[in-house]
Amino acid sequence: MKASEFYNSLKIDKSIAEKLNFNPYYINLNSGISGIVRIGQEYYYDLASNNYLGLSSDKRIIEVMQESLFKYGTSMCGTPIATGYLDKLNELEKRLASFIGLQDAIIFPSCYQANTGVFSSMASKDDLILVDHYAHSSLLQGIRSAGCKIKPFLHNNMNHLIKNLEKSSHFRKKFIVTESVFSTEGTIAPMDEISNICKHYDAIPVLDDSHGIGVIGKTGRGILEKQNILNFEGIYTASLGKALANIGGVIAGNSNLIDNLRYSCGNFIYSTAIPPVMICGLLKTIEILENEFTFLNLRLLNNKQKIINTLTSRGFKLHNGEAPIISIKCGSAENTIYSARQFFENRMLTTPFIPPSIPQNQGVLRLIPGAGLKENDITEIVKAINKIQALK
Amino acid sequence: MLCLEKIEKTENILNIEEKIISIIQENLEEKHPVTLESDLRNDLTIDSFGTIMILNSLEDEFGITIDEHDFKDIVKVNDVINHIKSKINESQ
Repeated sequence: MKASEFYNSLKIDKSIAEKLNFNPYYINLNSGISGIVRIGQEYYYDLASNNYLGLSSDKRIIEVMQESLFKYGTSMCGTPIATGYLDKLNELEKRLASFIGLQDAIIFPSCYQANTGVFSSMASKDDLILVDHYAHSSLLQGIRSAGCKIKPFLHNNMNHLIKNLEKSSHFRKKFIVTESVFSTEGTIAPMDEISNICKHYDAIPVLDDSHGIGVIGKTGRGILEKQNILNFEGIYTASLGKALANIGGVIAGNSNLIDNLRYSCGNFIYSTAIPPVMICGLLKTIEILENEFTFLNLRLLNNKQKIINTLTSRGFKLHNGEAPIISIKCGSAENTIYSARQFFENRMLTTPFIPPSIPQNQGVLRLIPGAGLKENDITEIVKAINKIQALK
Repeated sequence: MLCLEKIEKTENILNIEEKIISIIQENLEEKHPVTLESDLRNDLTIDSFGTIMILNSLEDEFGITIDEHDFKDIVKVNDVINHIKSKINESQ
């Protein structure tokens, strides 16, 4: 293949964005996110980020991070296995494990790396992974890399899962993989049922709680707390870049599992360590979460309800998710991008999901009205939504 | 005798078609009418992992092995049926 042919083959189809004169992806921001973002000289309400609790601009966290920069510098410039394990990293791992309610934890530079790395350390060709059909791309990538048999099951459908398990007794190890909160629809997995099914069929549950940690459960500890799952015998992963307003991903669980990952998981061993400044910020974030979750969560849930009421009265069709995620059904990819443009024109940033992230004609526009949005912000957002016409 | 064999073969073919349509229906997230002309992606909104779900069920039902890559060019339900029939014939 000639070079010109090769590079032409890489061209992304942007026809919808060109037709609608609006590309909602990789929008250039001229500020950080604190409920409101600046684009050029204009201000927009942030309904796109996963800043559930509004902690990305918390001054107490920023102060701790400033101090840590002077103490530890900008980077560890190497991998933890070779350069050394920072005392604060060790402290964060223990703190997170205790917060989640599991034995031990390990921190990756991102949850994507955690999810793509964990399966090849745990499973091989004689094993089976059953995975929820709507699980996140990082889990699917990781599962594919393990080279074992993959059996997806219908979304949150326990009968379908059991039916698949009944035909799978000949596999050596079995893993059941799901997310706690499905970020496109806002649905929540019946993790308590899945845990019981795993015990019955000798399978290991693998749970991604990225949109659950700091978001659900009485004190924000995620799905295990929300569904009162005690002695979870599975593998737990979560992003630290959503409600925890930082970066990195955690894998938590049995101490043998975590120690094994420290010595076997390439994504961890060969990645530069997460910078100390981020680690120190996370320690402060957890402290704030432990003290203030109830108040922040109340605001988050109130924000969600007010916006849902407005959208429903305007004729928008919504997914009925329990999590603080609002998911507008838009149908085709073009309608989804068009809806995102309508919101953008009324000073709101949203997240459109189109194929291949989701199946054809099931486009979704996602809104997360985080706790960083105050009452007057929500009043303005409600006014803005009232100017938008829902697509038929 | 030959006539009886022909009837049995026709019945088997019809059974296979019905069975495949039923398997596709059982593996859909949302109920859609499934016909021979249904487009897997556009009419039935089946994505890549939805395809794997259907392949697994077809493998279990007919005792055959199907390569996921062989399914890449398949567009309609009828194409699935023809592919499975040829797989069954190969295995006999």
